[in-house]
Amino acid sequence: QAQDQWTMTTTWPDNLDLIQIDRHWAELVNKLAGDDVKINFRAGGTLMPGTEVFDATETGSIEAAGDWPGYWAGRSSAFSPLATTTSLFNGVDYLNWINEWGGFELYQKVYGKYNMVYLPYGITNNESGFRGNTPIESIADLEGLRLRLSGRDQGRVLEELGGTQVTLAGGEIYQGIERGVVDGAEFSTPGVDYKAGFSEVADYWSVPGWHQSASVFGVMINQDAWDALSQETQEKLKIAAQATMSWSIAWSERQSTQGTVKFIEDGTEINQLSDEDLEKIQSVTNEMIVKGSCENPMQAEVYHSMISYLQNYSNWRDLSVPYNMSRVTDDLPSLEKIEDCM
Amino acid sequence: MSPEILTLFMFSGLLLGLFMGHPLAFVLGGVAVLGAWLGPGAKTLGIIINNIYGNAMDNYVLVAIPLFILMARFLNDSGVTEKMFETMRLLLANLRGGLALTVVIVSVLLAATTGIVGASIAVMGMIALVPMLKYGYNKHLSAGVIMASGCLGILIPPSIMLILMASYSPVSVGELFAGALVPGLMLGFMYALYVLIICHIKPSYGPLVPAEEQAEISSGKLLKMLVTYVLPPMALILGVLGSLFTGIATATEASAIGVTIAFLLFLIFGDRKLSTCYRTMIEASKTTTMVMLVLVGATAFTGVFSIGGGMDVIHTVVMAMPGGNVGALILMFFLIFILGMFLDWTGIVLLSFPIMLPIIESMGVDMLWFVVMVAVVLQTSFLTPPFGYALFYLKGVAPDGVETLDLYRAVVPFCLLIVLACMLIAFFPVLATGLPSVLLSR
Amino acid sequence: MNAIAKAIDALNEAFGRLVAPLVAIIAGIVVYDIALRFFLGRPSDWAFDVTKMLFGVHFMLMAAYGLRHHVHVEVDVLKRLLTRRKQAGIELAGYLIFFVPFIWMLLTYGWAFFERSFSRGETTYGMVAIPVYPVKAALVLTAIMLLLQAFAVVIRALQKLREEEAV
Ligand code: NA
Ligand code: NA
Repeated sequence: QAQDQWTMTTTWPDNLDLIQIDRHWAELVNKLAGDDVKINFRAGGTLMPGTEVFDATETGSIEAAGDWPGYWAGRSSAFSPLATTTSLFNGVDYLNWINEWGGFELYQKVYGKYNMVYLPYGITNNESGFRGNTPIESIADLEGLRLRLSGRDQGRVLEELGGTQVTLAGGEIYQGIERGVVDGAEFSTPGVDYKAGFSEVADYWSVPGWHQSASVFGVMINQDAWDALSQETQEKLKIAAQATMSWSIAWSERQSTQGTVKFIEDGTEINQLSDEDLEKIQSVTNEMIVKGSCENPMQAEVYHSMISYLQNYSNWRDLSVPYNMSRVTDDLPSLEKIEDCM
Repeated sequence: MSPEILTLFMFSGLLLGLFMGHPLAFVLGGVAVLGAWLGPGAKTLGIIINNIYGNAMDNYVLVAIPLFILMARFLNDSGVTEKMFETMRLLLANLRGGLALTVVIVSVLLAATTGIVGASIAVMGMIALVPMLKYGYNKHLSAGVIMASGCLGILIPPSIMLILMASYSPVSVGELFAGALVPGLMLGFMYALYVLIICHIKPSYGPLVPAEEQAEISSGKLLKMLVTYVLPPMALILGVLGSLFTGIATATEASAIGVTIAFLLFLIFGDRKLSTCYRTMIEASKTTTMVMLVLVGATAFTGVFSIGGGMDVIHTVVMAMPGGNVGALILMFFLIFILGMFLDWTGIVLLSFPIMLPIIESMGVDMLWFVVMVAVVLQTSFLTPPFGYALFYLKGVAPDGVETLDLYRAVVPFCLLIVLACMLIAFFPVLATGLPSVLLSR
Repeated sequence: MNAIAKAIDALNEAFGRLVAPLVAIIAGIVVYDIALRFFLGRPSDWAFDVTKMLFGVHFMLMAAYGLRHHVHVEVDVLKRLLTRRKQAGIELAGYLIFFVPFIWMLLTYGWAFFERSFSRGETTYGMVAIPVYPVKAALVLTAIMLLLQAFAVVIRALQKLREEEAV
């Protein structure tokens, strides 16, 4: 049987740890299905800039590319909730939703418009939060602060809370904090943040990372390349994605734990937002989600499915308090309002 | 087509196109298209567009390039360069080789204000070469010192070359500017020292200016000229490098601050005409498209070369060098020197960085040191025939009697000095890495 | 034939003169953004994207003007040693081997690239959604203008060949 040769790249350069998730999947596929398809994996930036991998996979210049769906939100805002949520899903919620509550199909529906199949294969739980040299003990402290934050939805919430969103490339954050160009910055999870050296320049850390309560990573596969595979091989690729996904949660949570311990050892002062503050953030977020959904029916469909899952799951989840994976569900965005505008 | 044959095909195609005299940008782009066809297959053609758009057109760091070019143009139109030269010439009049020394000093000052090559070569060629020849200076020394010092503009920050290098490596613009400052100044110092020594050994190389010309000016007037014409460029240096190194501005912002200051200098010292302003924009735009179009072609070339497996071929060859890391490093610097004879710096950076930086990474060599070394080696690329900007710029303005062959001879001692500087930075890496660690707590 | 070449020259001359001042506008926007940050403590939320886009548009649209004025880097040491007739021949060969495939790719793939963006109304993903397709359209326009200018160059090379034959 002829062996297909696939070229795969990713949005992440070699020196960013997130590339491990893409590599994990590519290596697993080569082990499981190496006789049928061989994946030649290239680090991000070596074949083309990370911002162009979507277009290159869509056209079939390359067969596959690892990504974080949020990067494509300029094409459709529906990509945003496929990548992360502002104070809504945790990592296990994504796992549940993708596998059992219709999430996987929505990834296919959104990416399918661009001639691609999508296999989500990475989940990282809550991001760190803001690091900087100004303590953020409550959302009142956000007033007038200039904070590095990515994402349009996230920016809308921050501006509503009184802060200013600043766009800085990942590589500029370290110096941005050091020289006071920004008062604080979010980057990634504690493990990744620690490796980027933020404990050297930031004395304060504000938790939790409400701006990105969990994140999803995966691989875009060109539809024609996918169709050329036998059903059996397609199945193997999906299995590899499943295996990578469960590994990624554990891997990333362990890295986060280790990173957090090191930040504490280095003397970083941690400030936790109060429950009232988080409630306020939740209500601002809820409005933002309804507003965004009314702007794009596809985004509405994704959010509708996500909130329906949370409501449905709450039947059981709320009974299992405090063993319910810590998500309270009495403060969700209004499904009715989203339905009104769908 | 195997990756090995593709590598051969693409580089021989590049050489062929070069020697046919076809514009480099189109040679690189054309070879990329043909290479994609014959190598990884027509379906990969799309990544050429992805690379052109993503790397060249959609790249915020590079916005500093047209702005630094515009700044150099306004500075040129202000006429400050000529006045600065006149002041320094009078200041150093009773020194053997004083005119040549003036060229070095003014070029270093200009280098710290502009980010391009050629800004001072053309001007110096016009205002300094004729007097030097008139006073009996050695032809080769005169031409050589103008060309070599003129190239420092792209090594001493600010520099559009360093910006491009930072954009294609994990080093930041600020780090690279700080890293190249000491080597750049050191090279200027070496040129000055060479001028003094050679004029001491061979007095006929740099005769004294006649006494009657020396006496024509009072020291009070000289001091006034010094304040008027040497201070403004200092303001430009302070505005651009100061805002960058203290971290209040990014490279792009610093370049815009530079444009503003240079425009003010043009308003103060220049002819203040709207038509001059407009011509400046045209000229700056021409230079920008010249630099950027080579980048467009080169990013197309490397994208195809990479997806066709060519990078792996080169990697294998370099790692097979005897002598381990040192052998591989020497080979890489030598390759850049050879490429410098035929290509311009944009093409060299884009061709060599994607191939070499992963090798450097895997060898565990300090990335900043390597990039600074490449920047210094590339100084030769402007001077070595057959393709060298300095040669073109000076030939364009040189008086009769200065032939192309004279220029080829003139650059030899200065190329040797550059090699010497490289060896110094190789043995004392702190020359490149010291300032960044102090300034940026790297 | 000569009239066509002259018309193309005039077109690209006018176009280049129109586009060139963009470089000053870019500088102006960056300065405006710095001023906002310093005096109001709040940078604009569009300057980053807009300067980047104008930059991409500026140097690309200047490319044909650059070709008309021979600013694009080339190594002409060997070419200068040849007779004028051979120079013209080698110039034609260069355009045929290298320029034609490159410009064909820019036109066809560039158009598809633009079309994908335009049909979906692709925007930037900052706080302000700015359409991206005009920049991608500039890529196609650049290819068209370059092709025209190259046509003028080829016409002149052909004339040179014929003149030499006549001599
Ligand atoms: Na400079
Ligand atoms: Na050269």
